[in-house]
Amino acid sequence: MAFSNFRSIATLRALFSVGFSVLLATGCDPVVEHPQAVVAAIPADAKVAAFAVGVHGATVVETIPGDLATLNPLVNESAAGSAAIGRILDSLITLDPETGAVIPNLAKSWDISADNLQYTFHLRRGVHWSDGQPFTAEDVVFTWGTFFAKERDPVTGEPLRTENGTFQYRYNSRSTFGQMINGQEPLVELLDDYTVRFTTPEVYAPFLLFGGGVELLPKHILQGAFEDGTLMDQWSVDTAIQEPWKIVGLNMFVLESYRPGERIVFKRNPNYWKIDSAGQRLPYVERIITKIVQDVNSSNVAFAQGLTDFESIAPDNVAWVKRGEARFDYTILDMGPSSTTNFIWFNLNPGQRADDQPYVAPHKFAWFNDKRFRQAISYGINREGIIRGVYFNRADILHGYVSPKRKFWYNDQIRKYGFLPDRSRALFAELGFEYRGKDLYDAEGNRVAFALMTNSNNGLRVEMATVFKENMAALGIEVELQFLDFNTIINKTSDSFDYEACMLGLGGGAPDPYAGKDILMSGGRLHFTNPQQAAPSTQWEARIDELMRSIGRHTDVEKRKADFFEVQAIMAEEQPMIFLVSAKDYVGYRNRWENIQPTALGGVTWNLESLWAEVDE
Amino acid sequence: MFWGMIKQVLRRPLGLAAASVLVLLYLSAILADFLSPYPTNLQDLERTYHPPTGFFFADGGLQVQAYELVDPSEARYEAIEGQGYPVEFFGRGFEYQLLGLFKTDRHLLTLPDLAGRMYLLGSDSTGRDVFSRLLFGARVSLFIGLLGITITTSLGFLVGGFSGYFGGRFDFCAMRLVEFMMAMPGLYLLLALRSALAPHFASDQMFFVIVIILSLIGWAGTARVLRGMTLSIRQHQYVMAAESMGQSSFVILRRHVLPNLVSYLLVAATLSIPGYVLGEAALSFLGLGIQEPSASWGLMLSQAQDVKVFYLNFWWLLTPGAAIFLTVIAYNVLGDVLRDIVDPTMKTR
Amino acid sequence: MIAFIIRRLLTLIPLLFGITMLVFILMSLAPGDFLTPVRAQRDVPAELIAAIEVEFGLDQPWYVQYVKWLGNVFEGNLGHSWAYKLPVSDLIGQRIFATFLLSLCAFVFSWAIAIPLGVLAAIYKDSIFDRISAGLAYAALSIPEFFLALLLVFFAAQTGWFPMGGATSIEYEYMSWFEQMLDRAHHLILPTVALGIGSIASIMRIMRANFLDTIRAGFVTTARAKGQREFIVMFKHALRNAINPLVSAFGFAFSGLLSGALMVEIVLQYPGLGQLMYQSILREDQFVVLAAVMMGCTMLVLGNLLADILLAWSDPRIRLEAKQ
Repeated sequence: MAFSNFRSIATLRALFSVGFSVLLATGCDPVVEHPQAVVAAIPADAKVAAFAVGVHGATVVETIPGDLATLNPLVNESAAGSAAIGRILDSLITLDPETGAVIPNLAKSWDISADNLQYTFHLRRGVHWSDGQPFTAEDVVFTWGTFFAKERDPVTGEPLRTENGTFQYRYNSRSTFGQMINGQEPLVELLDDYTVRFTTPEVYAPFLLFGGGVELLPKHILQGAFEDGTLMDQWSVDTAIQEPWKIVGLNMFVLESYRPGERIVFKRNPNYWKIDSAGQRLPYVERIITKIVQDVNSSNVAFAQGLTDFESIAPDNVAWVKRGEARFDYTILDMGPSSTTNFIWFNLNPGQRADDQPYVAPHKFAWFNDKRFRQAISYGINREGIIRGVYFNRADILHGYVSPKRKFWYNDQIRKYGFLPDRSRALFAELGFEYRGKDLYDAEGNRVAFALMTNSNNGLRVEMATVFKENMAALGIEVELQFLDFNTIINKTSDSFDYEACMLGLGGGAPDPYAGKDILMSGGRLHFTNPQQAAPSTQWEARIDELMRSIGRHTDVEKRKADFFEVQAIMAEEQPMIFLVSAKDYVGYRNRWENIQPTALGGVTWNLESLWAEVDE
Repeated sequence: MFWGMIKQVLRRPLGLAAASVLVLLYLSAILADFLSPYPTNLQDLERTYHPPTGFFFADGGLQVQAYELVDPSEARYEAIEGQGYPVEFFGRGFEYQLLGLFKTDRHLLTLPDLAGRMYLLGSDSTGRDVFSRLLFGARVSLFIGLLGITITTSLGFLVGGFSGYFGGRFDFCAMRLVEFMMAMPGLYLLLALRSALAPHFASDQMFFVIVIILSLIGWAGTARVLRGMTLSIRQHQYVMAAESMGQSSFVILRRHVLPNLVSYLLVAATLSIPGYVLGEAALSFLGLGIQEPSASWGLMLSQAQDVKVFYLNFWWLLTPGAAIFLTVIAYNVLGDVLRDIVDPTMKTR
Repeated sequence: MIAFIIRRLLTLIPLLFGITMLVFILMSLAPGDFLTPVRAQRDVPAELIAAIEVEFGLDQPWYVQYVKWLGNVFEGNLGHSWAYKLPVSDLIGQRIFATFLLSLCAFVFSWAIAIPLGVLAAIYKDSIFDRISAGLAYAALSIPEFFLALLLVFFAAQTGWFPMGGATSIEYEYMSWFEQMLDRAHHLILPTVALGIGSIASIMRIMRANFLDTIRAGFVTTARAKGQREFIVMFKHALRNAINPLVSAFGFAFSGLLSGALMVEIVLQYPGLGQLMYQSILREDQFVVLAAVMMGCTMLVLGNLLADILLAWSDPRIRLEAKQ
């Protein structure tokens, strides 16, 4: 019955050796062997960076919340994916970090015809892909070909059409519809090895920005997949893990390795087309190690402990992150207003579910649909309080669709909604609502109440929702808060429409007003209140559609500005999206980096190719 | 018999201490409206993350220190020398129903000057008083245990008692069921149950959903223990005598088995309540239990998980954890004391 | 003995079926099916969705789905995770290792401290040491695990001596294997403490009680009478016997290896099975939830079985009783 000493020690020994070997096993990480890259000569048209000459070899360490789903730009929908793809692929144009204007990138210049319909791009000569193959106009034509490739009848060769008469596209990507101009494809012609001409079906002002900004794909790598139909399966997560060298691009970095849920490692592209003033090829950075973390807070924490090089700091974390500046040798910069927005909207979709029940209860729909109700809600929100209490004063009130960061396009003269609950009550009275005690009832005697959903993983948004609930309670309205997973919210707002009100936000976005067409136009995929309408259901939506088309069609900047100002005014008056606040932008970088020249529009890493640091480890 | 037990508990110092702590906690929960200066959802966006206010004596009375927001970007407040707001005892505050009986608006401590705020334990991310939320949160956290225990013990007694007494097929099936229930990893099952049941209930019914879930997980252990006890009681002579006299099983159960079980039941119950308190706290902490903006200790702790709380040292947001700790340790001590009184050799796990 | 084991194993199989079926039913109660969140995503090929629908019979009643799922499980196909875009088996494999490591460390940590403490407390019964350790044991038992983890994160943030979460550092892949081991160990310290402290308390109390019982036993008096040194009496004779009842506790610890670390993993953001399950529940990643619960259940049942076996092996009475 006695447990012999020997046995117990043996067991313990066994346990330890198992544990030890398990620990040892963790060290093993098979590194994938890359084939040797061909390094071509420095291009004749290489761009010379206007910065002081630096030293090669440093490593950038950064964190990213969120993981990759795919590295195929035709398929990708995730933010992390866009960031990674953006490191590898490049485009014809880029944006000036100071002014935001379109400037040459892989295209060294362009001519626009007098009728504004033809754009002729002249490509830089001598540029090579990361694997050493030459970059020519054929790659540009190929890339555009993937957007508009059609399914063809195998017998006649005629393009097939769907039931509503549109073409059946072979590789349906965001670009397929995103690059169409009023439903028609632009014509892409190869004039010679280094010249491409685009002809737009009608005048389309933002073509340089959107068309020129397309990420170029390598024809010599993807042609095969394009022809046999497997294009969308290429550059998947599997490729990234097993054969990362197959993801070939023109930008500063290539993928060296990828471990799902852990890290993405980029290596310097030996064939990058920019050089410094001493004729050395850029970038100076040898490697970028991107660690995948849980959320923004973990990201900020890593930076605050001096573990990462560049970071965007959340406004409520700035205070304590700043404290570590001296100790961990980094700098935090206030970049002014950001382009992130936060807003609330009501479900204005009049449709029905599969079981013939309307998406929104009819009496509630009647409230949501009346602009006075939405305006009253807007007057009842304490935005200043939110800025002070939730954002620690590091945010700005957002009055409308455009954030004050976009100085040129920002209309300051729109109708503004301060914290004026009395006006809310006046509007409710106009609607025939009445108060019974402290509770608000509508004209038919229904208690005014609705449910608001927002994503649970955004702490600041959760706090804003709580404040909103209290603001509404003060007006006698009962708000039920639902904190859901982000994907669930996307599902509800774009597929099942099973919600009443939602709070979300948008970030980034291109500077051109036409970039918002998906959101602002009634047929847009992201027209939150009632997406993808066949025809605008209200007069103001019709007017906005008209204005947006005009913005797309005219190239005269002043005309576009006037139109866009009117769009903002209408949005402010109708309040389909009740805007809240916009967080300020804060970036941090470690002091070891040289050639840092931050700008409001470009941030700190817009000139990543010229950033260098002493190599110590 | 109860009085005897209570007297015995109070005679032991540990028992006395544990009992007093629990009485204090439950009284605070019941009288939460009276004791708290503010309602749970009263926000003050000018005073988010405010540290606990200091008190001092001046002008012949107790005063709350006034603060000014020195650095809004850091939520740093500094006391304004010499300036304070007088505190009133039994003054007028927000209206409520005392013990659900009659309306009143008197509170223990109030601040007649509405410009100031009295934060005994600081304020949270939207300026709500942590102390008030702690008291109201006690209602959820403390009563979930009691409610859950009632369900579990009844269920456990019914199943365990019957199978211990009757044996046979009922016993066999019941014990297999109990084994089955105990074979599930608690927290995993908790999460799975919650995600399955939650969409079918409104969010303010969450309280009852949680009670149901926790009870469903907890009853098996109690049933097994009670079965064992019933088995041993059944061997006692007086029970066998009653059986041979022809008394109906029901009467035997009611008259002989139950009274003997009660004391064991009491001990088992007392030692199981902490499981409920912790279970609810864990669920709410994960965002799967009581939702914003209601108060519950677990929910309040989930707010404390924010990184800036650690770095800017908003320690008062951790007080709900201390409250949970206090409750659990009091119950554990009380349970141990009860067990020592009832039967020191009793196995309760 | 073998018969006993076989008998217990036989009861295990219906148990496992029952548990997985129950969880499956629970999952089906949730609105929508396993693929609802996926259909909204656009970067998943339609063919893959269609293939999974057929494989798992998602358009059929739940019992058919269950059988299909079971069949797939036996082939090693646990389904596909939408949140992580990986087959579930790959995902679980990664995470199981991490959780296993953590639980093992916590186990070793708590037992290595609890046993000597328990023995000492018994030897110096009623001394200050005994009372203080009893009080600390109470405190350790009563503190909620996640709160302790929270306090430890607080501590890490204030002092900077420990990482605030995760299993490895950013530059992990670029360290030598020795540095990697140190790195992992450094990250394991806080979770181990958080997880282990509760067990220390309970094991210590049991150890103390057992040791006290053993000390009064006959053979100890005999050994003392024979003139053995007190030290040998205590550690050679008494300890060996006192440990016996703890053997079943070992089994229970084994059962909790995969499922016990849930809260600690979440608070300390340790990428283990528990955290995976929590994230998957939030994201309605049903296949992962199902697989994780199944893993946890299996471990629990196996652990209980192990505990029973160990107990039966050391105490023949149990073996005989079970035969009745």
